[in-house]
Amino acid sequence: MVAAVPLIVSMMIAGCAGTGSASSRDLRWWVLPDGVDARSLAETCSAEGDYRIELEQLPAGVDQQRLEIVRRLSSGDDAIDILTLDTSLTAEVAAAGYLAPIPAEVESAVTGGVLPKAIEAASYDGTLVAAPWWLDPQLLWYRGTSAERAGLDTTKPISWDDLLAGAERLGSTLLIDDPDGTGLGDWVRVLVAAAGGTVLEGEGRRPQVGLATDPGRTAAGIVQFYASAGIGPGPSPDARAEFAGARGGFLLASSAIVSDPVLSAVVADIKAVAYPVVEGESVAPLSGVSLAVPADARDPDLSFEAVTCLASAESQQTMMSRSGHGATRSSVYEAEEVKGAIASSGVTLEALESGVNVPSTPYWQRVRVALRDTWLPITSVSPSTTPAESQRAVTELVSGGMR
Amino acid sequence: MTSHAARRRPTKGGWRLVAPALLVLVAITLWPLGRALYTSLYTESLTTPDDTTFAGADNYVHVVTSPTWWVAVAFTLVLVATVVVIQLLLAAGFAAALRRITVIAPYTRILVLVPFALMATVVAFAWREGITAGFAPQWFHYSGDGQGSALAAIAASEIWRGTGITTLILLAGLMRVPPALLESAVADGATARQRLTRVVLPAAAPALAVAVVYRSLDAFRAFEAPLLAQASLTGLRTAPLIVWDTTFTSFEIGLGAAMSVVLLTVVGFLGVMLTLLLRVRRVL
Repeated sequence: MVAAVPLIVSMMIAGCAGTGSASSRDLRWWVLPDGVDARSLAETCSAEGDYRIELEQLPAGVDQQRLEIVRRLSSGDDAIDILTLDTSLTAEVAAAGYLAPIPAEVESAVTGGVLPKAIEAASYDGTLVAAPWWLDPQLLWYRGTSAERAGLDTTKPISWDDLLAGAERLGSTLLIDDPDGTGLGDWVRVLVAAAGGTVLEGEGRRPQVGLATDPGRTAAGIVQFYASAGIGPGPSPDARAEFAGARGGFLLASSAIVSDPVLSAVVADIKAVAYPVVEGESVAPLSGVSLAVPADARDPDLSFEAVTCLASAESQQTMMSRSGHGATRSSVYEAEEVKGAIASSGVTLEALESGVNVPSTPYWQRVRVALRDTWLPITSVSPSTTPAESQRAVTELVSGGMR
Repeated sequence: MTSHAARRRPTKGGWRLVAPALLVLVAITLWPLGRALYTSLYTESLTTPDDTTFAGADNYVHVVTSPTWWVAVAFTLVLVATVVVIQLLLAAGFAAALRRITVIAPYTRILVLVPFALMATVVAFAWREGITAGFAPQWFHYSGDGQGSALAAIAASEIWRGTGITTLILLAGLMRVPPALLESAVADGATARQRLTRVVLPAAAPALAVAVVYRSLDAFRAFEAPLLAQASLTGLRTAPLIVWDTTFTSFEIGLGAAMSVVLLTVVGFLGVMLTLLLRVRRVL
C-alpha cells in the first residue's frame, strides 16, 4: 500500500506534464474560418520541418475571436502555439504583452519582399509583432453589365455619388460584405479617410478623434444617401448570397469571395474595379490576418520555425491561388498560377498600395463598438447629428467610460 | 435566569475552535472585496496595462452619474419585483397543496427542488427557445421576435427556477401554524379570510419574509437569462450584465470593479430595506 504511493504520485505528475497525447513536436495552430485550406499548408510545412501542426478553430466574428484570445492568453494558457491574428486585433494583443518577441532572423525572413501596408498591419509601436500572412482590400464587384447599365465608366475611378445614383436608377443593389462583424467600422473609417480625414490618431486613452469634422460629415452624408436610396442593408453577413441572387448588382468585398461556394453560380460573370472614391484616389479598407506566436507558447522557437514556413512565398502562393485572399508578398502577384486563378489580383495589388489599415491603437475594438452604437441603424444616420454623437461616444469609450 | 445566561455565554475554548473557520471566512470574503475596492480606484484595462492611471473616485462618479447605469438598475428592480411576486403567488399555492399531502411528502419536497438543481444556463436556454421560438408562439399564435417575448423568457426562466425553493420555505412557514389554533378558529366561527389574516399569516410571516428577501437578492443577480436575451433587447441590460460587459467584454477592469462595488451597495441597501420592512426573524 505504502509502496504504491510514489507510483501513483509519479503517474499523476506524468499526467499533468503531457497535455493529452501531444508530443513536444506538436504545434497547435489556431485558424479562422476564412476559406484558407490551412490543413494542406500545414501538412506541406510539416513535411519539411520536424514538427506536426494540429488545427484549432477560432470563431468567425472578430469580437468573439478577441474574447477567446484575450481570455486564454491573459490567463497564461499555453494551448496556442501559432495564432492567426486579425489585423484589427494586432495592436491590442501586442499592447497586452501576449505575444513572443520575433527573433531577428525570423523577422527578416517574414518581411523580405512584403508589401509595406502588410508590415504596418502586423506591427505595433514600430515593432513587428507577427508575420504578415494575408491582407485584403475591399473592391467594387459588379455582375455582368450592371456597371454599364448604371452609366458607370469602369475604366476610371467610380465616385460614391455616381455609384449610389446609378444603382438606385437601375433598381439594383449595392451590398457590403461583412463576414466577421468589422464591416461597419471599416466602412466608416475608409469613408472618413477617403474624404481626407482619419477616424483616430494616437495610441493612448486620449487620441485625436476625427469624426466631428468635415470628412466625418462627408462620410455621414454618403451613408445617409446610401440608406435613403434603399439599395441595400449596409454591411451584412448575407451580402454575398444576396449578390448572387436575382437583385444582385454591386458588392463591396475582398477578392476572397471568388472561392466562396455561395457565389459559384455567378463567379464567371463578376468583375472587380477599385473601391469607390470620395475625392481623388481610390482608398480601400484593408483587413487581414498575420501569424503570431503567443508569449506562453510551449516552444516559441519551434512555433517561429513553422510560421516562417507558412509565411513563405510558396505557401502564400498556394494560399492565394486557392482562397483568393491577398498575399502579403509582392512576388506572389507575378506568379502565373495566381494570375490565372485570381483574375482580380492586379486590382488587389494596386488597392493594397493605396488602402488604409485599421488605426494602430489597442482601443480600436472600443472604437468599433462606439461606431456601431451611433451609426446603426444606417437609416438614422445624418451628417448634422451622427458625426458629433459618434465623436462623443468614441472619446468616451476609449477614455475608459461605460458603454 | 442563571441557567439561561450560562447557556448563552460561550465557553473559553469555543472561540479557539471557531477561530480558524472565522479566519477563512473573513479571508475569502474580504480579500476579493478588498481587491475590487483597490482596482476600482484605477483606470485600468486588462489588455493595456501600460495605460493604467490612478483615478481616485472618478470611476464611482462616472457610474453614479450615468443614466445608463440607473436605467439598468431600475430595469433589474422591475424584473426582480415581477419575478418575486409571481413566485410567491405560485409557491403559496403549491405550499398549501403540499401541506395536505402526507404519504409521499418527502418525495414531493425533493421534486419541487428539481428546477433549482438544474444548471441555470440550461434553464435559460430552454425557456428562451420555448417562448421565443418553440411551444409558446405555436400555442398562442404570436411572433416570438419582439422584445416582449424576450422579456417574458427571462421572467419565465427565473420564475420556474426559483418557485420550488420558495415553495419549501413557505411550506416551512405553514408547518408552523399550530393545528389547534386553526381548529379553535373554526370552532369560534372565523371566516376563511379571518383564518388567513389572523391565524395563518402571523404564524407564517417570518417564512414569507425570508422567502421575499432571499428570492429578491437571488433574482437580482440573475445573469444567464438576461445574457441570452441581450441580442433581442436593444438598450435594455440588467445591472449585473453591464458589470459583466464592462469587465469581460471591454476589459475595463477598474470601471467594472467600481460598478460591482456600487452594485454590492445597491443590493445591500435592498436587503436591509426588505429586512426592516418585513421584520425578518429566524425561522428555519
